Amino acid sequence: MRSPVAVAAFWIGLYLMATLLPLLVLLFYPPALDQGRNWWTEFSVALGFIGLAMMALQFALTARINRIEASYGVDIILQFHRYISLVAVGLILLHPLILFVDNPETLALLNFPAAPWRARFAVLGTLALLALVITSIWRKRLAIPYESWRILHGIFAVAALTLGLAHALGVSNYLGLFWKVVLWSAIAILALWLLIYVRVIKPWLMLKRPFLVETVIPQRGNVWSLVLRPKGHEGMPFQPGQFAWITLDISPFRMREHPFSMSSSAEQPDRLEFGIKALGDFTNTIKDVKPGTKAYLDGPYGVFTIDRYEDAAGFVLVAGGIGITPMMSMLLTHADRQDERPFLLIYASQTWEDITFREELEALKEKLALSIVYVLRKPPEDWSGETGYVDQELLSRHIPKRRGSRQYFICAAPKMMDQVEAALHRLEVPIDHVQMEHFNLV
Amino acid sequence: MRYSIMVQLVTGITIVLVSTAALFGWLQNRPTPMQRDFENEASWFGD
Repeated sequence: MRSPVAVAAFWIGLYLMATLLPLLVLLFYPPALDQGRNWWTEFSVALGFIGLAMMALQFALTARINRIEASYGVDIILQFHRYISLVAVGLILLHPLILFVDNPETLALLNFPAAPWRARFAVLGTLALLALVITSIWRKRLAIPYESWRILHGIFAVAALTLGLAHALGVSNYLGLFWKVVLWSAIAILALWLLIYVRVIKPWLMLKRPFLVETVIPQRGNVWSLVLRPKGHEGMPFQPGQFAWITLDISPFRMREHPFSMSSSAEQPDRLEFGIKALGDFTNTIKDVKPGTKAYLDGPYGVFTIDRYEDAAGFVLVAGGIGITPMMSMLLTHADRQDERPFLLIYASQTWEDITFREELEALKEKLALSIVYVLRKPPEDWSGETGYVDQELLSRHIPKRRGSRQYFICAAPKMMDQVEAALHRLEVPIDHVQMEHFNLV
Repeated sequence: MRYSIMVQLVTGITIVLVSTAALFGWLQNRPTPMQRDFENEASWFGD
């Protein structure tokens, strides 16, 4: 199944089925008709069940399951996770709101000390859900460090799901039959199992395949190359352009991992290089990492790789700043493979001195059919090359006339990626020939 | 652009989910055949 439309239809169909089937089976042997319940009551109950199923599915979306991930890439899946979670929260909040408006007597259920446990579970679950959303959307504004947020995110998610299920079981209207209880409990248990897999089993597997830091090499543009060697195993085979989650100097069970693209050749899986720009708390410490430090990798991940496009006649790579790292891996790999296909690299940087891997890129021109267009925001006085932004005019001057003969890879800051993608679209580059990688995942 | 596709996708999924919830509500509240017959009978007797 290679057609992107077919792949999308398959996953969307599967998502809808997983969300709606558990609701629709509740229609078999339904509870006896209650005159006090009208269409609004049943509609609101259905929204609650759909919201609960969507919450359980969020655990599958974030479990880094290779099969799902291989179709779209982790950045797209996380984006879907963020968007669809807001829908789930909306549906779950609508469930009580409809009941309150339709039957104001139900407002008494909000009186926590007097309310039955099923209502208390609902209130607590909703609070956990709101905390989950607030800490995720405003994490930076609330100054919650990423690592603490990740732990909180797991706790709130588990609380919201189990309390939501406890509420549905407590109400016991649609879940009055034993087999329905088993079905819905199994969904929740499967979701929690996925969380245990990500946070316990996967780290345990990583622990058995450690890496050691060989060296840290300073690069231009405040970038550091972290070089890792496998200890007691053959390394991590990957495709050029992919990334891995790195845990450095601590146990992988502590869940303080960070995603970085490999910048070295995929032909050398026993020597991995990661280009890391000093931008935040963790990345600022890379320069001080000592050789011999233990590292653990979860990966490789990503579909941003030229290996998926063996039939392409050539490649156009558009990089902004640290977005050069996956491109570097692609170029080095293809130099090692003695690939004769043409590469055009359009590389935006602040200044001439900031161009990360500049010398290495120039050296690669000897080994590959590589043309490089540097685009500088602050060019030196004697600069005669491209300046400013990578816009439609600039792209039209450099990309080949036969647009569809190339695959286009963009890796840069989100704003630049959107602009370049839109410009390529206007230049009639087929949309399925444009591949993108967001490097700010979290 | 890719994210506007994402917004469209999520909107589409939301519409399907809410419509199914509405259908669920209708299925659980539709008048049963017995109720309909009873109403017809009542109208024949004019009371």
